[in-house]
Amino acid sequence: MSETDAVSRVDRTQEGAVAVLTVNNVKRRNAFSPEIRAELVGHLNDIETDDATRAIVITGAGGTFSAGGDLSTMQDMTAFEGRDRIRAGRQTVETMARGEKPIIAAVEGFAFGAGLSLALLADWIVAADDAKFCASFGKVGLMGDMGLFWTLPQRVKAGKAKRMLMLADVVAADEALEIGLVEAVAPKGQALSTALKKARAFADAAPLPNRLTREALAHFPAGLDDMLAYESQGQGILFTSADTKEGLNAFFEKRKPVFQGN
Amino acid sequence: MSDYNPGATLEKDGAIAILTMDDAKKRNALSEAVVSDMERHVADIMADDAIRAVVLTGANGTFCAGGDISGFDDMDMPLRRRMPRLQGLAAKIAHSEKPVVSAIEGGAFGGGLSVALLADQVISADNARFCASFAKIGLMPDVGLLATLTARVGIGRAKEICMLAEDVPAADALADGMVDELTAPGQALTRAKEVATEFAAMAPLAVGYTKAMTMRWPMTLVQELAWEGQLQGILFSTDDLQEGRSAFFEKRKPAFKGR
Amino acid sequence: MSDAAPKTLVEDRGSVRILTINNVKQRNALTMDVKAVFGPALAEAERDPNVRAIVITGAGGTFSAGGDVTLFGDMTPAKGRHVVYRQREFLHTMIRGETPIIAAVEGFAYGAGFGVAMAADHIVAAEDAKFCAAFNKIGLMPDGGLLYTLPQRVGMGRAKEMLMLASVTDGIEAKRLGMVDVLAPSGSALAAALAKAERFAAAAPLAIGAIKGAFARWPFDLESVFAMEVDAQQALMGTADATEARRAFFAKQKPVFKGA
Repeated sequence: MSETDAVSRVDRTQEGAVAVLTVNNVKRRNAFSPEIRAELVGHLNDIETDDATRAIVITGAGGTFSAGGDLSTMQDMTAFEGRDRIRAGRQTVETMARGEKPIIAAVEGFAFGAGLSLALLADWIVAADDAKFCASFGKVGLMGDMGLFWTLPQRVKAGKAKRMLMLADVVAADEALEIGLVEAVAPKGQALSTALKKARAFADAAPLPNRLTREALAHFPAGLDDMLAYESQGQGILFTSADTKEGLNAFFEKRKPVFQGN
Repeated sequence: MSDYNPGATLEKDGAIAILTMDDAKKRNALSEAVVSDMERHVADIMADDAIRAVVLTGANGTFCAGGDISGFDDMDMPLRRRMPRLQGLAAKIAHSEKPVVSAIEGGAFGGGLSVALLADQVISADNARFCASFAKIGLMPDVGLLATLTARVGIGRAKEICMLAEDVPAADALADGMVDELTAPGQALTRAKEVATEFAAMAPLAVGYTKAMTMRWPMTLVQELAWEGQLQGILFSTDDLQEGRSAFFEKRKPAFKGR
Repeated sequence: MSDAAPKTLVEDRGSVRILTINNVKQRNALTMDVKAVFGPALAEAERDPNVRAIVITGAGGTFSAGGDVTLFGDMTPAKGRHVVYRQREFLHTMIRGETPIIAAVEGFAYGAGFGVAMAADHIVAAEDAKFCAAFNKIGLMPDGGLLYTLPQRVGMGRAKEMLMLASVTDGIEAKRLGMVDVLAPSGSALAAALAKAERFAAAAPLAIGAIKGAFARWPFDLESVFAMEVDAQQALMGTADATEARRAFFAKQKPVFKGA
């Protein structure tokens, strides 16, 4: 374990059209260090221009997702230094939120603090049945960050979301499913395999409309007319795509379509 | 009822303030006496650094019957001038940066429901009833209810509750997310004080900034990132963060000072 | 039902108007000729002061299979945009109108049909009804307002799964997720919707209109709600209906609203 203990990185493996990114900083329970952030953004940027990759899975090494920020690095700083520190994390949030490929999070163990924020930037989340979620920031005198005030209320109703944010409630997997924090629960140890299965479904779906859908929904919260403008313009472009032709042919021929992304 | 004395009372119990609407003849309706007392007490609570959480409740076995409609027909002051006063009170409660817990016995109706849902957590007796009764008297919900209710129960249920103005029993209110917890009848205040004590143990600046962020919902990602950078930046510079870190490493409970 | 039958059937039950999408051969697909009748029928119902609630349903045991897949032959991006753009006429009427709309869904609510159902204020579904944003299956993105309406009802995580994977949700699951409001046994969605519509129809119409108008302005925060309330409440307070409501309230009678 000594070699694993020392690393602080994000590993990328490829499973067909699915890229798997594994946060690997096991010694600190995959705490979200600056190196991890930089590697994550690097991989996401590579994937964005990689036409062979159509879906992304994010997970953590060593049986846990991420315990959040690294408390050992939070010595005294001024408010402006603190602001700079948060700004450095902004690129991770924006890259995940504005990217065009679907992201699936596979959560085993803990998704605490920034680890929770990271999971919630995914489009679809599966939790192992013993996984735990917590906006633990408040326990050390901080508030949520990495987009948490944007992502959490999109999924969880206000009463529960406020309890999570203001009292640092720990939420177990079954409750997470019930309140809409995650989309699925898998037996312990099988979050990744469940995520991969779902990621393949995202990879098989027509990629062009989903790029536009993901972009549109990232404008949350948007008004009716913004969304109507978005759908008519997007649909206009899509109507003449080769994939729409393929989709229609498959529909009339009663077979599964094969989308090329053009 | 010889000592009929409508208004609102304030009790301070350590770090907790308990604000109680009390108008025995009008089921704690938001009459002039109740509202003006609440204005005064809310200002007091806000100025008091020793207070870290607020419980909002009603006397006489009920929460609040809402606006005082007995005076509607002969009201001189136009609504355009009267309503901002109630909204101002609501805004002070909502934006106070001190966590607020509502304790509901009996029921919360109309503007009383609006006041209840201004809280961050809502604790209700399991036999209480709720009603956005505005449409029953030809009005629309006010004092922020459309925002607070929609954020809690979602738009589908919120429309039904507001348009039909039908009673919602406590069990449904819990299932919908309108309230957060149910207690046995008579126990809402006790439980609300416990929840307020939980809030009071959190770092006051962090919980206050967190509350401020939730009160700006819904927000775009651009807004979120700007605000979280500024507010979290300030929290990074506080003594409470260093206390929180020390407590974590020493495996003890932190003692936050709010600076 | 011959081809000559109107593509949208109109029927009144008291102050409730029932609009039935009637294109059974194509499972009530929202073809151009259906939209040409449905849109104006909806606008007319919205304008009629005697109509206090609108129920939208589909003929032949299904709601609507969605868009018209035979339309694509001579499509260009501009034509495609225009076809979808024109849907805003009925979506605006549904969402921004002042009359409460109840959808009664049996069978399939697919694609734009799903969009029509979700644009209603109140949704009744049969247990075996099936909802699907089928667009992705033919390489398209969601339309019919679903990008706006669906996340509001089911939260973003579930909305993305439904919108990006074209997953099918049945009535029971839809009720559990808050996607629909009322669950009815198979075959009785319309009856349940009519019972519910009676209650919407009995409410004060001006207040309902103001409430509906406010909800249509989502996203809103607390401050913008404060502004909307002052504007609308001032107007409502002076109406004859509000006076009648107060009179009935104190007399413990049922109020009779005139919409004035």
